[in-house]
Amino acid sequence: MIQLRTLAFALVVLCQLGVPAWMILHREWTLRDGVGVKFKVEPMDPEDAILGRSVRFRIPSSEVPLDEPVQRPSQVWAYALLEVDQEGFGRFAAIRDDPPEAGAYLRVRVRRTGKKGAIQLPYDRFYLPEDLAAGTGRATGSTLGSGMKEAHVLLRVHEGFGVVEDLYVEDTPVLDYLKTAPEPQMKKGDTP
Amino acid sequence: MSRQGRDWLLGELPDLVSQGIVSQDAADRLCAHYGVGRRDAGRQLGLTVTAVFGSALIGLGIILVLAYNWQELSRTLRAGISFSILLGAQAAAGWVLLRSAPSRPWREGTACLWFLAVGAAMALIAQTYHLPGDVSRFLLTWMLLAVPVVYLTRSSAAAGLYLVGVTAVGGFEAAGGEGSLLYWGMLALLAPYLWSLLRHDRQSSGPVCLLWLGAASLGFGFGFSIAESGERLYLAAYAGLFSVLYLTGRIWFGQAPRVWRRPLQIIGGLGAFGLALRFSYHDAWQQLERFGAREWDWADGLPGVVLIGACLALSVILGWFSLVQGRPQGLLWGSFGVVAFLAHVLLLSLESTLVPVFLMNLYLLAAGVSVLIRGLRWERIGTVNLGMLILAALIAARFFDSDLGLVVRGIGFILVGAAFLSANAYLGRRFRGLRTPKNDSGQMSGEAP
Repeated sequence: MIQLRTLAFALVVLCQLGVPAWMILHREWTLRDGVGVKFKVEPMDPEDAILGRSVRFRIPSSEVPLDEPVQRPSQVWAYALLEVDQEGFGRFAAIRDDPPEAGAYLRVRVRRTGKKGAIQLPYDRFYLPEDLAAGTGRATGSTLGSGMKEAHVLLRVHEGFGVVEDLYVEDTPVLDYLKTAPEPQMKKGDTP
Repeated sequence: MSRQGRDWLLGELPDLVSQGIVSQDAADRLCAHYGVGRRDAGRQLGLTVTAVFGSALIGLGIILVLAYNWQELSRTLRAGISFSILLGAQAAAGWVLLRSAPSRPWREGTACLWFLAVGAAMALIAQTYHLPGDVSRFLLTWMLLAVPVVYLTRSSAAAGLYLVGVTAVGGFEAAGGEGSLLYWGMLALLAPYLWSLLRHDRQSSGPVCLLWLGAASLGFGFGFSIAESGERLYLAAYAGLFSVLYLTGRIWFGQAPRVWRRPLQIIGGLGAFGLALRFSYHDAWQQLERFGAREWDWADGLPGVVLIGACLALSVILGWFSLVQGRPQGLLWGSFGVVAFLAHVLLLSLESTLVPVFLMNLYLLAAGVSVLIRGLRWERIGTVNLGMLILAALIAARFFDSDLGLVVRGIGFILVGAAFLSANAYLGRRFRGLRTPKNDSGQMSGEAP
């Protein structure tokens, strides 16, 4: 009985260590071998009780023409092929059911309607120290409604899998930007 | 026997009982033989509660400290911290588990810490690699990795944390329009543990607390399932749930010595009363009619329909079981699911709220009168008061519902209040005169309405 319990305990310990280990290794491999692709974003400043402070952003959804139109709207997993321009910004070029043999691509959920497929990337947050994250929206102008700064996220893409490497505001990593950016002037009627 | 020995015996007995090695009677006799009394049991419970709270606070504290997001730490160091926390908690739990006689407070405390450490490690990885903010997926992975902790440690605290997590996953899934199947599947993972726990030891504090949590979680789960049907099924579904909870509680937990140890009966009874009172008003039925007028797909409503069917069938079986056991007293409350279902069918077929409203009022009246009569028959002033409270609530609801003037309503309330006080004074005198030791001990424990 005790031996069985020991065996079960060892198995559970292995599983509990194995899953996080795989999560870490998969992301490290992607960061090491992946192609860097930029996407324009709009940052805000939320809070997560478990995971901590983060800058939340939204990558605008993209619409890609489908090879074969669908009769009924549906949502499926597919492979979205990426084209990267000279500045490094990514754009979805096509949607495939199978992974392509070459080039950068992401495995994504595609909402298919008629002749088009809409792609909304799931990457939506960048974690920062509590004191810095709180002012991100104000510092980047996104919650003031005016003077919005250009921001983009750098994604490492490898074999259909993407990992957020860094968030940039005016081509500066957000951490450096927030450390050096002056507090914006509040206008009359703005809420902090 | 030394205090250490008594603590050991008290820590061991619940497990021995839950594993079927000794019966509850034998455990009681052992306690009596070694002179282990209620005070020792209370101390043991206190130690367990302290251990659980202490571990939970440490675990949550670790999560909050890590949530600060220490940018100065490299990714490798963060990975090291994730694994150290998890390994530390696993080592503590392993040390406790693999000892020949683990004490209950230690077992519960380390299980709680282990459960939270899994979440802390996952959260730190999510933070390091800026994982998308899918809380549902995060909780799902956490719960699936942590559910074996419940089975290995046989810890009620860990099972409670799992129930909370599963309910949260169900809520996030339902809010995202993903249905409730995941919630029920994850809940089913805990069912074997709950079954084995309740089969042998349903009176201890741990299982009772789990029942409170479980019943609350089921309430949310029903909400997740019927949300897909545009809320048109909520009366029938919740009425069925409350009936099943009430009857199950009455049959298997009705002998519990204290009211708080009868969670199913309390939640089922209060839920049925609240719902019946709400549906004694016309506007509640009119709202249900409006829900029914919305377009819906039967496929979306299927989970709700299945739940209602299962609850109705179960409540009929449990009602029959009550009759076979010779305990028909709870049948009126237990039949609420069937009554509400019939009322809803009448609403749909007659397209009028008049008959369903009449039926609900009649039901509450019958329930109140039956509780009152039972209280008088058993000479229990608490039950009499409960019956009068139900009737008073019904009267008050009708007063507020009617077009009567303020003065008439006021006089009505005064009369009901006076009747309450007079009845209490009369019955108090009468019962004091008639009370015998048999009446005090006989039907008291299990026969709460």
